[in-house]
Amino acid sequence: MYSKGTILVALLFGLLFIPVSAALATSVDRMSLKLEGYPGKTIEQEITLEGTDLGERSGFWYTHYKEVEGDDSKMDITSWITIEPKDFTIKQGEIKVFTVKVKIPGNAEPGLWGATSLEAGKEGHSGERRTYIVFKDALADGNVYSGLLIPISVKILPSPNLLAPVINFVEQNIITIALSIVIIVLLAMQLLRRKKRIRK
Amino acid sequence: MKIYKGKKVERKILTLAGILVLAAVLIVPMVVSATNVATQSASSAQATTITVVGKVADTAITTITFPQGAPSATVSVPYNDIDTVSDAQVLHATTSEPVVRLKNTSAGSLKVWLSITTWANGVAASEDFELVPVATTTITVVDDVLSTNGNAATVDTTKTIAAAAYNALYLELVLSASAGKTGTSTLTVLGETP
Repeated sequence: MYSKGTILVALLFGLLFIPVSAALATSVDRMSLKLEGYPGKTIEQEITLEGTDLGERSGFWYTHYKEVEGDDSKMDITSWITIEPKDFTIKQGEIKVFTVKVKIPGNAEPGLWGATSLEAGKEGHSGERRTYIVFKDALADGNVYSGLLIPISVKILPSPNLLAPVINFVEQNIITIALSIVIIVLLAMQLLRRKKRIRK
Repeated sequence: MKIYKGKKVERKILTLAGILVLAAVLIVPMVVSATNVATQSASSAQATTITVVGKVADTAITTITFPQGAPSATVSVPYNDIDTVSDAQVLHATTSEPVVRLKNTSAGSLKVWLSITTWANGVAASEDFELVPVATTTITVVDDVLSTNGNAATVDTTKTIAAAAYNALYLELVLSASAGKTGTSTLTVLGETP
């Protein structure tokens, strides 16, 4: 017969092998997005989720506008935003990258959109936030979701210099352009020489 | 070694071209400093969603169920799938027990938002909540509005849960006047940096 002590130790040891459903959920790598861009341009920003729950969770992304009385039309920019992919499933240890695309309308006025202050994303400034991206997920067959609200704001800058694309092209292809100039000059030289010889 | 006039000119042009290339390499980046390049920045703090756990055990729950009631009745004994119907929510002046607890597993505090989807089949007339620290066991009334008409709603509770801390969530549903209906809705617990 085993003593009571042996049985107790065996029971405690057995507890080590009982799976415990730790209450964890999903992590995100940023808690606010503060962007800058020009009218008519599309800004892209990556955002990453990491699964920490033992089970597989299914969820999706969406946008939310926190309406506050007296807000002007610059506060709701939900129609500018898409998140790809929208739907997801995530397992423990899995990392998934999503792209937040913000398409700024061509006629958008310069200034801050989606929040009342440039500091809105910081702790202690929740009252200054208006537009959010949101993700939420739940365990399979569940009716209880959990998620996070991530404030997003866009500072629209005045339209850029019209020559900017040309200057950018020159900057990116400076060596090719320089070599082309040298080659053209040398070819021109050769042609001039030939013409002179023919005249002589 | 004789250098012909044509070759002299060629050398001059080559030298000139070299100088032009050098100048372009040095000058263009400076000119480009005010161009069509937008800057972006984003905070890098990691955050984890609030988990919805049982009344006692730290086990994630999947569903919350409101038991059947008479038309227009107030149902204040919902239960979760971990604690089951035998350990439902209790409203009491000294020993109240929530339907679930919310656990903040983030590194920092999170402000709590609650959101529901529209109750199917118009089964609910309204839904209320109460979010309190777990040490509070004196809840007899659940009257913070989650939805005034059973339709989808998102509410900022203005309550904040500290890192690694818990809050107790109480729910109460008023059924619609229609009899013999069953409906579902999803509850979402959202966190936000305060």
